Amino acid sequence: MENFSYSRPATLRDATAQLGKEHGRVAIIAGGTDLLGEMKDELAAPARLVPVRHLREMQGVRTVGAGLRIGAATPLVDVVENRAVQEQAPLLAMAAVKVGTPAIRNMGTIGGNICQRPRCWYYRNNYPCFKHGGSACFSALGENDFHAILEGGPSFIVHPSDTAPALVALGASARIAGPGGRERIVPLDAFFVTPRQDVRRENVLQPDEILVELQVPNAPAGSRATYVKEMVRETWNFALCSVAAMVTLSNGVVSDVRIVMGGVAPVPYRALKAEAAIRGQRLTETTAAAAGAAAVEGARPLAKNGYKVPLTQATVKRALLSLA
Amino acid sequence: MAQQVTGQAGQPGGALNVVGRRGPNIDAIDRVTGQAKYTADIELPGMLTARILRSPHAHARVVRIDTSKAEALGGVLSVITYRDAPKVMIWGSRQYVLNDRVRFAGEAVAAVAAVDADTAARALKLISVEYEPLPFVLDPEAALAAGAPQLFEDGNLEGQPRVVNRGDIEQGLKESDHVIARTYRCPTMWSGSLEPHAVVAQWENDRVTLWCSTQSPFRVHANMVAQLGLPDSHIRIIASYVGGGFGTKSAPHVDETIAALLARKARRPVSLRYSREEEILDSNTRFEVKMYIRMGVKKDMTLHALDIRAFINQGAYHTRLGGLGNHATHLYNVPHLRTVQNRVHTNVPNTGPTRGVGDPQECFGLDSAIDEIAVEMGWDPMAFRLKNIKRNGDPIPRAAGGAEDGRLVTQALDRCIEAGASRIEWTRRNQAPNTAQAGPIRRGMGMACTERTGGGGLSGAQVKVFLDGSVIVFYSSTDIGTGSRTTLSMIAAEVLGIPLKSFRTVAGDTEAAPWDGGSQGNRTLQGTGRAVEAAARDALRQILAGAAPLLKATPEELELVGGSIRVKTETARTMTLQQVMERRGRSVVGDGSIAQGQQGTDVERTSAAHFVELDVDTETGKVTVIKYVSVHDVGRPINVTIVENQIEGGTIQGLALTRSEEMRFDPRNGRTLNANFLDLMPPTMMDFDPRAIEAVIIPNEGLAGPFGGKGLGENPCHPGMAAVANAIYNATGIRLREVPFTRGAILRALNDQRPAASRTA
Repeated sequence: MENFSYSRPATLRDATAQLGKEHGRVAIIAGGTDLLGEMKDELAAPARLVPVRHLREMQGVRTVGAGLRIGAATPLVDVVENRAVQEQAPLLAMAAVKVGTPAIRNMGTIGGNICQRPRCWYYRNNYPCFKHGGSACFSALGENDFHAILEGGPSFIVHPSDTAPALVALGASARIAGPGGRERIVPLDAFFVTPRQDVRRENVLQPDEILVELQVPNAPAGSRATYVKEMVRETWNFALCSVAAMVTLSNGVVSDVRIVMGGVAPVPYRALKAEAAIRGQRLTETTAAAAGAAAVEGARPLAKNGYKVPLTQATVKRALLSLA
Repeated sequence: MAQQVTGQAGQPGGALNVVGRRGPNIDAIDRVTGQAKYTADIELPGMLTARILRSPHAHARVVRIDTSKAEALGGVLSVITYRDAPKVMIWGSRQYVLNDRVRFAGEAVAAVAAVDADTAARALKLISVEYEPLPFVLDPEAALAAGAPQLFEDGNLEGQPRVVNRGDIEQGLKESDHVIARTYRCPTMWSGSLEPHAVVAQWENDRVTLWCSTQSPFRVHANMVAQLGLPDSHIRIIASYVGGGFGTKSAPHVDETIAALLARKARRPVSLRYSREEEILDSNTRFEVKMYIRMGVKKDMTLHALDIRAFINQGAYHTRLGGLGNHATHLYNVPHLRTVQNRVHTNVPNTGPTRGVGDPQECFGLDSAIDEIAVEMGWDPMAFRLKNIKRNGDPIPRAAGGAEDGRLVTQALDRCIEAGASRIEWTRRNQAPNTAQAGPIRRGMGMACTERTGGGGLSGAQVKVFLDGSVIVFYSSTDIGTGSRTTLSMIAAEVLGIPLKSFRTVAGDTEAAPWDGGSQGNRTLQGTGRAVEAAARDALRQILAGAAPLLKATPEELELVGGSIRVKTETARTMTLQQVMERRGRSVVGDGSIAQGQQGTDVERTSAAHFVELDVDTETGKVTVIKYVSVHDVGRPINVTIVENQIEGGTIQGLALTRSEEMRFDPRNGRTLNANFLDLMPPTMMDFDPRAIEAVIIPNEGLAGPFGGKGLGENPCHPGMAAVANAIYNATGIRLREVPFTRGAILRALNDQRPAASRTA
């Protein structure tokens, strides 16, 4: 690990003032569960770390109006155990509890979880890939068992977060602070970027910006939700595929639905075709299977990840059926 | 099995007070409270921290290496390269500790000792190495092809192919009523332990002490004698507490010598601790095996011909402890047999023995083929095995080889199979795949058999009885989590008649204890255990001789029971052991050094049958073990709890091989891409419900081990891959001939099986 300076900002404004315009030179640290690993593996070598966990705006869960405000530096365990989250946005609690291990959920934060870097073996082994500023995706012609089947190219990473699909499904927004007290609110479905939009980054955050808070509308009254995560082993694993599904039934018919998938695309992937397929339908084996098939429409698997197509199909189907 | 044992043989069949019971490990509290000192806990005054610079190339020549900047860095006390390293190959390997040519990505190129880890890491970056990359090869068959990159001057084949012939294989296949030809493959897999390798080296003049995380202190000792060119009395190896080994610590590696060289150069003690990544890249891995199997049967259900052509990927340097086990030669009767093992060097990281060595791989090939041919013939695979397994009195090779010059004794495999079938209710098994189903879930059953030798060779131990009547057992094999401190103490307690609570152990110390072959290959109980028994008998003899005049009797008239010495025929004439020892005024040391080996024609083996019932989710590819029954012949169990733990642990390790743990190499540069626990994905406690695993011990009594015990440790991880593959077939009709059985492998196979029109990907 390279040497770095550590400067504790007194306020959010102090924090943004320290960031500068260059990606990677200054790093924001909250739980550090991803960043410190990257620094030890020399994937990241920031000259300065700016801690944000102590900043009041970035801590804790509050109910504001018909929604939740969750500080980006709130530990995942606090999201999981928070009563308001469990009652107003249970899908988020279900997804957050699937992250890593208890140790990681104690240290890791929700903001860090949605901003974590890819788990691609080539990226993590410091190959000169797109993510490291290079001009190739080594997975495309290499070991790609765990890579994208949807929206891939030119990089084929998958978005590793468990909470991101849930937040997208809930229609959450990100409150982002920039220098000089500037702020912007970005809906999460516009927060994540595909490799075609920006091959080096996974979201819209600029180097001098901080994700301060997640604004999560309450789940619609009467809605039901589930988060299903398929893994190689039962714990401490990123998703082979995951599905955050939320439906509202009116007279037994799906009147509103959100289906967002993790682990299959470079971004949390909203399966609009699957939503369209199930909207207005009763939740049956047949309709859920049709939605599953629609969810992977357009999938273009690589040499070794074709299994993710039937796996994702089945996972979407089962997630929906579990809500019937 | 006849054997040479100094001291008396055990007394199987006699009344036993300690042996055969259940009980916790005697060191359990020390381990869980942190009082047990592992190598990484050793702190010495002035101790330096070492780090190793490793090659990024799978195959390269070191053209130039410049360490001057690293040496000039403040806090760096020694730097070594191939120029400092002896031109002596590591025990069991073709590797020099540091060399000017590297043969796998991750091989050590230079090493640094500095005042702390950060300084050492900075120094590594200041070493400049110019490499000339060479062509590399990762596949063992490709490595034997004409024009393949050559790792060594004498080529990539290690020695000659190992060939075993019995009968006439081609004739046997011709005579068979049905023949199958199949290919099976186990890739290079991680199979290591939680504690990475660690060494502390300390010199005093020209003597060196090495605290090591090793299973085999005297193998490390022999290597250090050779590497350092010192008399054997100048080297002391201490491996007191070891955090698992599973074979990866059964042979010396580069780490011990590097630490010793750095410490000598720096004139300070040096600590070298591997990171997890280093542990995966540079200890040893489970070697890849590709098997081409032809098998022929007669209509009368007899196995008639078996041909195995195997390519064993030895990795870069490993020479000694590779290859298949003895399933083909020793498990089933087959008149026409040929096995050919090509042990091949490639540019993958060092392989070596890991739990079971080549047995799990061979078992996967052979017991999958047994299942396949039985299915094709319409036979129950269990009945087919029962018809063909070697039973007591059957001819069997006395050594590794084809000639059946011995006769099998104390075998209990038939009873293992019958007990397992009954526990799992084999009669419930599907008659054909896909018959037991509920929605997408298919349930099936499979089984596999295994066997192994129980170990032996040269062993030694001492038993010291103190004036207070307490005892220390000194031995130089180790307790790598197998409970040997407890088991060996129980053996001595049984012999001596001294309560187990009076026992302590000093394990793994080459200076404190006599020579011993180490803890690998099922041998600690069977070898060291017999040595402890002999040492305890020697101590008992001395104690009784000392007590005889005090009790006015001859030693033969005395016995030591429950910590007291008494006259057998007049038990009121008694003294406590403590009284006798205090009157004697000096401690008693019993010595037990023994040699065991195959003598005569009686051949003893240790065997097992495993049965599994599992569910395959045909939509997600997920396999869930419903019930797993592991039935073992262990002779007489010394500590039933420890034996059951060994069986359960080994079973889970075998199951792990079915799930993940494959090492993946980048074909473009030969580097390992997943050398960490997150990406190798070894299963956790969440993956296999221990309540689903039933460890069953078949009552038996062996000949070679103490009190009728047989070595056990390796066997429980052999049959998992074959049993699970057979059960997946029985559930779904898909036959997986390559491990691990990932979601991808299962979903692909299921998809291939469906009619083309309904395929999804």
